[in-house]
Amino acid sequence: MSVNDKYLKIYQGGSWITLTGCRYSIGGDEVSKTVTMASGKVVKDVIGVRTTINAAWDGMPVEKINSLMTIVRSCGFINLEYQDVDGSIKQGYFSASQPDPEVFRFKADGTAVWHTFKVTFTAQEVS
Amino acid sequence: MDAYAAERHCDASAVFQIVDLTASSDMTPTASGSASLSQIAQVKNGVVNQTYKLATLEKDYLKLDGSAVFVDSGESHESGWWSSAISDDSGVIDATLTLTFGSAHSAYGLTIYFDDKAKEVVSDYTITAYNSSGTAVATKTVTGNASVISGTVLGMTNFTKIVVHFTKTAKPHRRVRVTEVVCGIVEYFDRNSISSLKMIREISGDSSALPISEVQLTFDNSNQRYNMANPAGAFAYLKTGLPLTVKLGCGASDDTIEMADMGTFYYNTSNSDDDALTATITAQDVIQYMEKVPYTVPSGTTTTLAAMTTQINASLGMTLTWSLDSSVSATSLTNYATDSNVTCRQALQEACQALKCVCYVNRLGVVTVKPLAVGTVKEILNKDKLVTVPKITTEEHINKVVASNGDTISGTYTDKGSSEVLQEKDVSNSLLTSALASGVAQWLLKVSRRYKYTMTGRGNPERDLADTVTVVDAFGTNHTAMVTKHTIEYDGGISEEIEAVSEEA
Repeated sequence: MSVNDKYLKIYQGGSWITLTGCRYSIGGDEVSKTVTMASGKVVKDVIGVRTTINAAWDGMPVEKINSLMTIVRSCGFINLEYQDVDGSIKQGYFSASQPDPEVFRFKADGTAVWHTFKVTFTAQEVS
Repeated sequence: MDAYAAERHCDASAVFQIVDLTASSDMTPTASGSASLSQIAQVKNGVVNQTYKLATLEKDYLKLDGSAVFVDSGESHESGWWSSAISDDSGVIDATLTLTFGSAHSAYGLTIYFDDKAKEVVSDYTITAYNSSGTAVATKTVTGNASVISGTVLGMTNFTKIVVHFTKTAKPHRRVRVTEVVCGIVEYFDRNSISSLKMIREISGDSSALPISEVQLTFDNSNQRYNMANPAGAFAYLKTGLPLTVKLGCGASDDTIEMADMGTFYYNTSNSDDDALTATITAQDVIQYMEKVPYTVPSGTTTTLAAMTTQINASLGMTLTWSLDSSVSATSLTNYATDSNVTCRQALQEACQALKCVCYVNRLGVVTVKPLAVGTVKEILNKDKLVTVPKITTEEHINKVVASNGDTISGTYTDKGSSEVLQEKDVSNSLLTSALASGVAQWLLKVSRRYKYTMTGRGNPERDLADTVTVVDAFGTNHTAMVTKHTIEYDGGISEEIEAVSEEA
């Protein structure tokens, strides 16, 4: 797992939305089927690793929040671009958890200012 | 194939052809113009791959890296149709391929195979299907195609002519290169689209039945193509006989996966719930057709297995490929009465039993009839390869078999201890002769005393029916056995159930 302080990009409506100021960690879950043979030996059929990206923003411009919330609430698979641990730029389709932003403060006009915006992206395919 | 690697990677693929099965043989292809290398008749010969990447002189095409070859004059090779026209600097071209048919056909779409060796494809083209009155029944324009295999769904009903107008090649200065045209859609499933695959293949050890092997393919149907209620779906074009070819493979890594041909099966049913994301196709081997077709009994009082297979082919109207053991193919059998009401499946089953053989369709589609006998051991099934220790069972103990043709011919075999209670089994087989009856009775009694091994295995796609294996039991004792049933499942990994029988007691 590595932690990057760079950006994520989401492809939406024919263009890329760059989400800067993001801290994210990259992990993954092994997808496999494990069987214990009659001898006691454990073997497995490896299908791959499903990448997960835990992304968090301390603060985000309101227009970016709105864009991201719209995309995430569509519940579809999101075309995401990110930097992998080896420095290469990867792209793939991910499902996204529903974010749980907190209200930092309210402006004088009553508009909320949000912070601590966290989303977990889970890859559609295994690698 | 490394089927028993501790860390194993598995793969599956399937090809399902939703095609008009008679269209190719009824098709006459013509074109607006053909290059000298063109062999237009090949677009309907069933070959979907070019033999070579041919060395030709279109602008910016030929690399001098040895990848392209010149064909010797007269050398047989697959090229399909190449247009005489060459596209301009923008890829724009005007070339037409016309397919005319002797009778009306219906197809779910059209699949065009372009040059797979040179990876030269046409990006834009229009398909129009016409009926016998010259009225267009379906048309569709494809743009931006980048695939060597380009399938277009357009629901063509009762067409007698298809015109494909090619308007733009993917690269400039190229000819249109069409290797094959298929009236229908060819669906390619891989591990990204297969949810699960289950295959059951079986032999009846005493030929009391003629099992039908079956495959069930469950796959991504999020496009709802296989929903019965979808008016734009494929359901209206799913007909008995559509081929489904299946492969399974495994290896120690993704790069070393070897795929094994598991055989070709023929569409039987499909199922998709309207609220589900998957659909399931069930397909069976050619024995399914024998179940539904009456066996046309030829004249004569005797027959042979070889003659019966010819007659079964004629009854089915198909040319099945047979492999008959030479020791039994010419053995005389009692013929059925000409007014007998018997199916091809029953006729073949009775012939196999009368000849002390088993019958199954092997992975190459060959209907195989042979005695089930121990051969070279292909595999040792020990505790490292089995999930459970083998379960060993026998049939109910019988000590007398009476085999008869239900009329005047019968044979008896008894193997009964003095203190045993008589346990008799009667078997009726119309094809028995007096020369065969006693031997069949003896064989059936011995077969009934075979040990049957039932096992759950790791999953080896290479194992075939009738293969000889060594089964290691819970006490470490080796038993030689022959595989009579193989159920193999793929769902990302592979697992299997195996049944095998020992030699005759």
